[in-house]
Amino acid sequence: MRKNKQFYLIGILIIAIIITLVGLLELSAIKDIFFWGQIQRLILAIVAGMLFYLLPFKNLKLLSYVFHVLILILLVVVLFSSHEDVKRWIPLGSFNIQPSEFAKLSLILVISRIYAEREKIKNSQVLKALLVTMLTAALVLIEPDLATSVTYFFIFFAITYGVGAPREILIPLILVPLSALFSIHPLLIVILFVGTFVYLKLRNFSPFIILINLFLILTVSLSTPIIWKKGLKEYQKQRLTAFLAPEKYKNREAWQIYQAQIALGSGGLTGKGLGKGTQKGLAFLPAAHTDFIFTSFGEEFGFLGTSFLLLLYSLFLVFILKLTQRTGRYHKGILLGIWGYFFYHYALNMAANVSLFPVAGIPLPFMTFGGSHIIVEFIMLSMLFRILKEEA
Amino acid sequence: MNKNKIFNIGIWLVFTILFLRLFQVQILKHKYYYELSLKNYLKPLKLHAPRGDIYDRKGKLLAHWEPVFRVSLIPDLIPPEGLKKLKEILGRLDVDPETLKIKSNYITIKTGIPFHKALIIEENYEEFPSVVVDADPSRVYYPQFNYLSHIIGYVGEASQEEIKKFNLSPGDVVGKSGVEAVYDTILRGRDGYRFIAMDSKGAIVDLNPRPPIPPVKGKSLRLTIDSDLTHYIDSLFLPYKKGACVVYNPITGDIYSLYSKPYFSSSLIKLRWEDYLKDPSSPLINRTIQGLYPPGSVFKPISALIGLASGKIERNTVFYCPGSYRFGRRVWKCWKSSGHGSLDLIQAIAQSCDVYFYQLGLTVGLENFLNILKDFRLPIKTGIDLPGEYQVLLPDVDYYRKKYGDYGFTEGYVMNLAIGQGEVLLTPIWIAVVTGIIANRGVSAIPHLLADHNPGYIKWDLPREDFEIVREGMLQVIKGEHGTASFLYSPQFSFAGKTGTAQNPHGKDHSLFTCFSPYDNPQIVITVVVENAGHGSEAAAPIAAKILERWYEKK
Repeated sequence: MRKNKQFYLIGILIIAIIITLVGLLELSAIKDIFFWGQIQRLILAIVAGMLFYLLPFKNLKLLSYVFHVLILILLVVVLFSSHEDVKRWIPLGSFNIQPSEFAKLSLILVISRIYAEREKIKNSQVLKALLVTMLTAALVLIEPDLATSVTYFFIFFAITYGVGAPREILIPLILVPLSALFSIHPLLIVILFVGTFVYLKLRNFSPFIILINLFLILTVSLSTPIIWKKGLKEYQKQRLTAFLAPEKYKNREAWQIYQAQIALGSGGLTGKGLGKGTQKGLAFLPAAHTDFIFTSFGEEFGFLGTSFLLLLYSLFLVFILKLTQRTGRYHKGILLGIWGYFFYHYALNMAANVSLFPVAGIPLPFMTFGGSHIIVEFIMLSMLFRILKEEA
Repeated sequence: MNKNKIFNIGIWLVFTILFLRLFQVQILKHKYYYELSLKNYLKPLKLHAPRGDIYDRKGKLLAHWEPVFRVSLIPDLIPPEGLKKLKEILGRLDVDPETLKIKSNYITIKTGIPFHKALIIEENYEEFPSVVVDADPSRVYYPQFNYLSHIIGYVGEASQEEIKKFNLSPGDVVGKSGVEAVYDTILRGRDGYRFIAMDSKGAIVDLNPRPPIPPVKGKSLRLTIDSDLTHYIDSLFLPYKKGACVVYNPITGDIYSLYSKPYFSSSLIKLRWEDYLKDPSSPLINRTIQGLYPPGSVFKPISALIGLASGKIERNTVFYCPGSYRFGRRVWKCWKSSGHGSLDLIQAIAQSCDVYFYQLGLTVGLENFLNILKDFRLPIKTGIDLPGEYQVLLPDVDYYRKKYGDYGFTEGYVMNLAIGQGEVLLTPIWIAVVTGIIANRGVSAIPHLLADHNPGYIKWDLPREDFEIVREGMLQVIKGEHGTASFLYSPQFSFAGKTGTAQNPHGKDHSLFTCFSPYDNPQIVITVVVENAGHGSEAAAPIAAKILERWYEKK
């Protein structure tokens, strides 16, 4: 088993290196300063990763609350550090630190620790983890950064479900986002309502629990449209409507999405060649080095390049899952959190790049230009190694 | 275990969705998006085709083209301050501000800018995103051929209607008048395109990213015009301010000369447009096809044909001219106050006796006279290949009724009509064509300017003898002892004609003369109108004779 895991770990490392190099290659084709900037950040990330490798998890476990409280303080500080409308970064010399990225890491540690407290997971533990997640998400939502705050919930779900939390607490937790999503059409709500009822009845849940869950569906699905109208900022709505009809709004909000489609589509099977992307090179594709680095890569390397990258990310995720087999609860929580992080980031970023999802500003792991997320990802990589080492 | 399975399903589900989506965008819709990416950065700029050259019948180049600098831009990409600065450099732009607002493609805002201005723009290219300065073919006319401007015409920016009609773009050039307008589609050629690569802000990254589609020059035209002859005619008109002259071959329809004075300059039309419009002598009017003149005695051959057609007048019908004729309460004078004595029809034409034609008219009767004229079915336009030919006015009974009321006109009106005064108004080209028909005893070619081209004939169905009588009368104008233009008689060549003096209420009479030559087998028709020059024999006839003289010299 250990041998197998070593094999997967090496696979994970190789894939991470390949994707990082592909990202560097693409950044070098966009602008030299992005390439060299990313090299600096990578060095920082590798150093951070190595430092974390030296840290035993039992120490981390002790310090996880401290870490997270520190991050939460930073999340408060960030709100006062800038006068711009969107407050996400703390300026620190030539770098900007994005605490919400590091919060993903500390949250994984905290949630894993909570679930490691008892042999059998109790509902109260799940609620405790949910409370911490909600607190973190709330601070990030003020920035505002909707997509990142949703990340925390995804990580929370991945760990909670993966470590085997009781079903009666999982079901309502899953019903909340589903009800919100299905509220776009009354028919969907009805299906969800009836489906939930039948499922719970078959599983022999008590009438009280059934009633609570059905009430939850109604409350969430009816209040979502109100939140949509009152709660979302104008730019967020624009992004969403632009996503729904890009061709119609091509000169306004959806320009990004529209140009990204052109860039990706014009790449064809084999792409236009490195540095020869006209959409990216002639500045028609916005945010080519950040949100749309995948598109920018796709324009120059074509369908062969993009599907290869897609396969790499998928294998990367499969391999992480392999590591969770026969692991202690604490380690397993951490592994699942890491898995949740990568899955959410890769899936959402790519979905936005192929305009299956609104542009949310989620970085593509190992590729998007930026320091904070790269550092977090390399620390996570090193954690994988540390876990395997500790299991030995 | 079970949970990992669900996570794995999640991974491969996302993989499949993304994979299929990528396949759809990058493979299935590749072409569509590729075209869009080209449209994003490759902007086509029209390369105008040079217009075809225009030559005269002997191959003299009358209109050519030369490259000039032009400035083009994409209105969407130029910032307001850039446009403002550009306007300061260029002055008034060729395009209207409306066109400048809407376009996201290249439009040409100014052509024919001087070299130093082109340099200023090129040097400051960073301030003017998308702006391109390149060469554009521009029409060239030669000032020494200004006397042909009415024929050649001129070109100009296509108007909104022309853009719609011919499917053009703003800034395209079309023929506005003359041959340029009539044969515009032949002369225009096929425009090409060049491509310019730029980034999203309009900064040009490559001026030649792909080979241009070269324009195809328009077809050249050869005209029937003899520019040397027209130049000579111009010199003959030197003493006079206004007039017109048509020289044309009634057999082939070739127009050797179509001269209208005063004329404008095709090359300066844009610059002097306002002056030309204000000029009281109307240089923009082509008098040969747009000048409506009372024909005066030039109409008498037609009156004679009406008389013959009525059956009441014959070759030998004699009337006596004492110098005037009393009709009703009024005395109608002959131009020769001493009188012509007894005259037959031929002598009446030769000596242009007014009293004879008063009596001819009265003999036929007004209504009859008008009805016969109508029955002749003479065309009201010659159909010359020039735009804007005016209709001639040949009155009929209805016309009189409308103008004067049912009882407002009397029998006496026929007297004026018979001598070509009053209601009749003719263009010089029309007179020339009818002269050709009489000369050729019933048929003449439609006059045309395009060489090697036969648009057909105009026929006048009358007995051959009738034409012969009128022809003989016109011959006697020159040859006869008392002919009104007998002083022009030349033994070298035979020709027949008719003088005319058109009364002009605004000043001195207009002098008219129309003739054909040689008498037996007419090859050439000359019609001359000199405005405010008195009798037909004084100004117009000598000019026609000089033209004939030269024509025979060169032959």
